Amino acid sequence: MRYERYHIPIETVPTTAPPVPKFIITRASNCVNCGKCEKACIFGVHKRKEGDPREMADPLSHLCKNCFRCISDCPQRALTMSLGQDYRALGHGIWTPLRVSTIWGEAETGKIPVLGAGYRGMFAGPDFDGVWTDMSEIVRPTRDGIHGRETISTSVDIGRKPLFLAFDTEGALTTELAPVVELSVPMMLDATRLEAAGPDVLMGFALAAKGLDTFLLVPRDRITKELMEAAPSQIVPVLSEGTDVKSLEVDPRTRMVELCVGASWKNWAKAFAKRFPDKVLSLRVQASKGVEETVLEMLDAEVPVAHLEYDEDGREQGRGETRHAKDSLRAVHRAMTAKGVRDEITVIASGGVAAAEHVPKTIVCGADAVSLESALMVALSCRHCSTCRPSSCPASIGAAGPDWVRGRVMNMVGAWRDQMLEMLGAMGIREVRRLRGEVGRAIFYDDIQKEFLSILSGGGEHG
Amino acid sequence: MHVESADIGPAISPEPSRSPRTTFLAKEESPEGALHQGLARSCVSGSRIVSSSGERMLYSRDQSEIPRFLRQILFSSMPEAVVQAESEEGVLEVLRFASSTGTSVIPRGSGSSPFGGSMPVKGGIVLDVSRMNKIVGVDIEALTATVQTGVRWADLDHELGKNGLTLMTCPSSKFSTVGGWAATGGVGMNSFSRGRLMANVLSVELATPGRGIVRLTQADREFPLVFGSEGQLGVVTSATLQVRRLPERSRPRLVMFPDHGSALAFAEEAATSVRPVHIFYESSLRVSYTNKMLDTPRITPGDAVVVYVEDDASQKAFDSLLASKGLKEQPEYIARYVWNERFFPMKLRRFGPGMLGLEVVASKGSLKPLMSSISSLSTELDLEPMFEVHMLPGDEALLLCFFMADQGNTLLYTLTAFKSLLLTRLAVDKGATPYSVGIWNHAFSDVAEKDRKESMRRLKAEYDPRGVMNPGKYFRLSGRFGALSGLAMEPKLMGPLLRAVLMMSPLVLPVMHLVTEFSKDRLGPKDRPADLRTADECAMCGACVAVCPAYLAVGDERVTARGKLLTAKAMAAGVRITKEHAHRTFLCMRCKACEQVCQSKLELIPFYEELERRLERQFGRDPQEIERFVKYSESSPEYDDLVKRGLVIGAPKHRVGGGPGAL
Repeated sequence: MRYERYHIPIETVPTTAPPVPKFIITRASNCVNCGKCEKACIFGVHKRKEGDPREMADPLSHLCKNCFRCISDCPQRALTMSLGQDYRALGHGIWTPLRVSTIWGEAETGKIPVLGAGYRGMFAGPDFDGVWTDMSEIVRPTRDGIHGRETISTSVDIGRKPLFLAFDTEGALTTELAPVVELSVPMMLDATRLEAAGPDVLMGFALAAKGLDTFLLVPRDRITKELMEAAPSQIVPVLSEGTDVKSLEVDPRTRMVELCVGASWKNWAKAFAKRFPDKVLSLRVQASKGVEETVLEMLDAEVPVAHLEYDEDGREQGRGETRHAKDSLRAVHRAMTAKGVRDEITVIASGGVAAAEHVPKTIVCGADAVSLESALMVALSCRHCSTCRPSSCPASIGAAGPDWVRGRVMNMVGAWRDQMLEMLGAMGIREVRRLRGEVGRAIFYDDIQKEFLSILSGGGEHG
Repeated sequence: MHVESADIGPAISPEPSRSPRTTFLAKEESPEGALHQGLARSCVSGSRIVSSSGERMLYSRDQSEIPRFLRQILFSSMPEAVVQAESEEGVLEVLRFASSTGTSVIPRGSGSSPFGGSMPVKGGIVLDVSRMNKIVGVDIEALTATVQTGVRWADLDHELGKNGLTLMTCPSSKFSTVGGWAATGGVGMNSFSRGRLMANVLSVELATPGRGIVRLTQADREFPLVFGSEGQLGVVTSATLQVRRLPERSRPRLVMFPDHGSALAFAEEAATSVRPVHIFYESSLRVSYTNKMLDTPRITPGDAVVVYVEDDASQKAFDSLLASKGLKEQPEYIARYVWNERFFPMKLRRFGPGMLGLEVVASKGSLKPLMSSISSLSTELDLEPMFEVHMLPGDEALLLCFFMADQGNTLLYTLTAFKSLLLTRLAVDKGATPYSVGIWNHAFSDVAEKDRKESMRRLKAEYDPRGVMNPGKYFRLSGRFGALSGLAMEPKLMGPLLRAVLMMSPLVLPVMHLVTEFSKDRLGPKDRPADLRTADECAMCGACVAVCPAYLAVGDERVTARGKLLTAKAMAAGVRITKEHAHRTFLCMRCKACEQVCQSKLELIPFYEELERRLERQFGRDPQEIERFVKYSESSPEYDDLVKRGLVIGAPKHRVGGGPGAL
C-alpha cells in the first residue's frame, strides 16, 4: 500500500461579493496624477486608468495593507486613509470585523493569514482570548524548519473506545469493539443550525467534507438524494427529538447518526445500538448549567459520542449564569478524568468557533473535535449581519455554486489546519489527539489572575 | 558572475522611486517654408526649429487680443519660422543666419506683454528664448543671482527663497521672463522703493548680430539703453541681478477711501512719512470687481490704497499716520488678499470677456486731474474705466487704466481699441508718457526723450548694422504694405488725427455712441460655445506654460493650456489643423498645474475633455503616443522636480516628515 501523507489541496477561490476594504484610500481632487503612488504601492492599490493612462484610476482600497507609503509619498498630500465603515459594521457578537475578514482571506487563498505589523492588541480578552497557548518549543524548531518536521497527525477517532482490552485464555479478544470512525481533521462541518444554507451550499459542504475526509452534519429532512449520493459516508443525519427509533431508516453507507436529545434518550440509545451496531451514535445536547452531569450519565449509558452544543457566542444555553465553552468543557473533562473514564466517550463541541485558534483552544479545554457552523458561512463571504435577510444578502450567498463552496470551505479548513500544525509543532506535540485536555499547554488568564491576587492578598491557598 | 544592482530588484527607498528613464519624441509635422532648411543648417547647437503653421500661429500674437483685421490686414504677424534657443550659442546661430540672409529676428520671452513688442509685423523669425531658463548661480554673500534670460520671475523667487533671499523687484506678471521684462521697461512691484529693474541689475549679456556677445555693466554708457530697448539692439541672454534677504516680517496695509482724491493724497503722504516698500492704489470699480470674484463682498467698497511695509519703524510710522488721520484700516487677511492679487490684474478679463487698457507714466501731481479727465472722456465714450496706480520713486507714478470689452464682438472690440487710443492721446496731451511702445503705443512714440532715441539709433547701427533686430517697430512702424501700414500708428499722422477726433468730440462722440449701442445690441455673439468663452476669458499670461510638464517634454506650446485655448479659437475661426497638431493636444499629464496657476481660475480640465472629444471625432487619438508620453514624463528627473515642487509654487509643500517636497 502506498503511503500518502494527508494533505488538503488548496487553490485560490476569489470571492464573488464586492470587497469590503478595511482601509479606504481616498484620492482628493488636488491629485495631480503624477503616479508617485503607483510607484510607492507594492500591493497594487494605485494604478493608472485602463483606457487613459494620463489619469489615476480610483484606488483599489481592498488591496491596501495599511502601510501609509502612498500617503507619505504623495507630493500633493492628496491621499487619505480612513477605516471602512462597511468593514467596521461587519459581523456581530464574537464575530469581529477582523475575524470575518480573516476568514474571507483564508477561504480565498487557503493560506495562513499574516496580520498587521507587530502585536497591538490586549494581552487578554474575553472567552478564548483569555487562553494563551504555550508555544515554547518554537525556540528550538527542527533543523529544516517546518519542512523537516516529523509528521504531525491531525486525525481524531470518533466513537466509543474501551479503556482496556480483555482476552480469554485462548488469547482471543473478548472485548466487544464498538464502531470507531477516524476523521483526518478534528473539524466537522455542521449545517444543523445554518438555516441560510440552501441546497447548493449544502452540496458544496458535502463535496468539501469528502475532500477533507470529515463529516457533514445535516438535519435529516434536508438531506436530498443528490446530497446523499454526493458524499454518502460523510453525511451524518441529525434526527430531531422524538424520532421513532423503530421505524428509523438509515442508509447503509452512513457511519454516524446524531440525535437531538429529549427525555427518553437512554432507551433510544440502547435501541439504536441494537438496531445499528455498526454505526456510531452521537447525542446532541444543548450545553447548559450542569452539562458535566449529563455527560457522565451518557457515559454510564455507554453513549459513544456527546455533541455539546453551545450558543452562537460559545456560551452555555439557558437562563441565568452561563459559562463559556472553555470553562464548561474543562468542567466536563475534569468530571470524566476524575472517574478515569475520559476515553470512553468522544466529545464534540460546537458554537463560538470563529477563528483558527479556537479549534486547538477548544480541544485543549477538553473536546475531541469541534464542529464548524457560522465559520462555514463566513467562508462563503457571509458578513454575519445581525439580521440575516437572504433576499438582500450583500454577498449573494444564495447564488453560490457547489464547486465554489467546496473550494472556499476546503481553503478555510486547510488554512486552519496549517495554523493548528504550527501550534502543535511549536508546542512539541505530534498529534492532535494528545492535545485534548492538555491544559498544561495553555495558560488561563482567569487562573493566573486568581493566583496573582492570592499572592497580593497574603498567600491565599498557600497560606 | 557580475551582478548588476538592478538584478536584485528596486531598492525600497524613502524617496518615491522613478522608473528607468525612457525617451519620447512626439510626432512632428513636416517642415514648411524655405527658412526651415537654412535654419536647420545654421542651428547646430540643438535649438528647436518650428515651421509648421499650427505652432507658428502661437507666435503671431502676444498677451493682447488684437482685432483680427488689424493684425491680418496691416501686418504679417505670422512668423515664417520660430527658433527655440537653448543656449547663447543657439541665439548667436540665429542672429548670424539672420544677418547673412537679411531675415528679421523678433526676440520673445514668455509673450506676456500686451503692447505687441514680440509680435512680428513683417514675418521673419521669432526667437523664443524662454527655454534658456537656467539659474546659473546665486551668491548668498554678495546677494546676487545670475540667470539666463528665459528664467521666469516666479521660479527665480522660489529658488531664492530656499536661501532666505528674495527679489528686489518684479513685474506684475510673475511668469514673464527676466530678459523680456528688461526689454520692455522694468517698472513693477516694489519699484517705489527699489526703482526700475535697471537699478537692480548689475550686468547683462546681450547677443547682437554685429558684435556678438556684449557684456554691459552698470558703469557702461550703453547699459541704460538695453532696458526698454524692445529687441532693437539684440537679445538679452543673461543677467546678474541684485537680490536681497527675505524680510523677517512684512505686512500689506489696506485703507479704503470714499474717492480717488483723498486716496491719492493719503498715498502721497504715506510715501513720504512711512517710507514703505511699495504703494499702490486701486479705484473703486477695480475693488468692486475684486469683491465680485470673492464669494461674498468682503472689502469695504471705495478706493483702495495698499501700503506694503517691512521694517518696524515703517509699521509704527504707518500706525501713527492712521491715528493722526482718524482712519481705520481693513483686516489683515483682506489686505493680504488684495496685495496678493496685485499679480493677477488680467483675471478680470473673464467679466468682458476681454479687457483693454492703457499704461502711462505720469507725474504724481498730475494724477488726480488726469484720472478725472480720463474718467469723464470714458463716460462719453461709453466705457467704465478702472484705475491702478503704482507709486514710483521721485515724482513719477505708473497709471494703469482698464475697461471691459467683449472680444467676441469684433466691431465693438475694435471700437474700444480705438477708444483706448483716444484715451492714451488724452493722457499724453496731459503730459504723461506711454509705458512701453510695441505696436499699439507707437502713435505716441514721439513723446519719448529725443536724446534717448538718438542714442538708441547710434547704438543700433553698431550692434545691428543690417537692421535685422525686430524691424518695423520702435523707430518707425511698418507692416505688410511697408511704411503704409505703419501710417496707422504713425505719430505724425495718428497723433494729430486722434487729437482732432478729441476736439471734434461733440460731433464724433454721438456717432461712436450710436455704433457702440448698435454693435452691443446686434453684433454680439448670439451663443458663445463654452470652450470659446473659456478661450476669451484666458488672460494669455502664459503662467501655464511655465508649469506644464507636457511643454517640458515636447517644447511645443500647443500642449499647454494657452496653446489649447488658441487651438480652440483657431478651429472656431475655421483654421484647418493637422493630425499631428490634434494629437499633441492629447499630450497632457492631467496634473492641473495649469488650473492651479491660472489667474482667471479657468476650468481647464473640462475644456480639455471637450476639445479632445471634438478632436478625437475628427482625427482619432494615438494611445501608444499618449502612453509613451506618460511613461517618459514619469521617468524624467525634470518632471520629478516639478512634482516635488508641488508643480506650482503655492501648492501644499509642507508635508509630514519633511520628506521630498518639503521646503
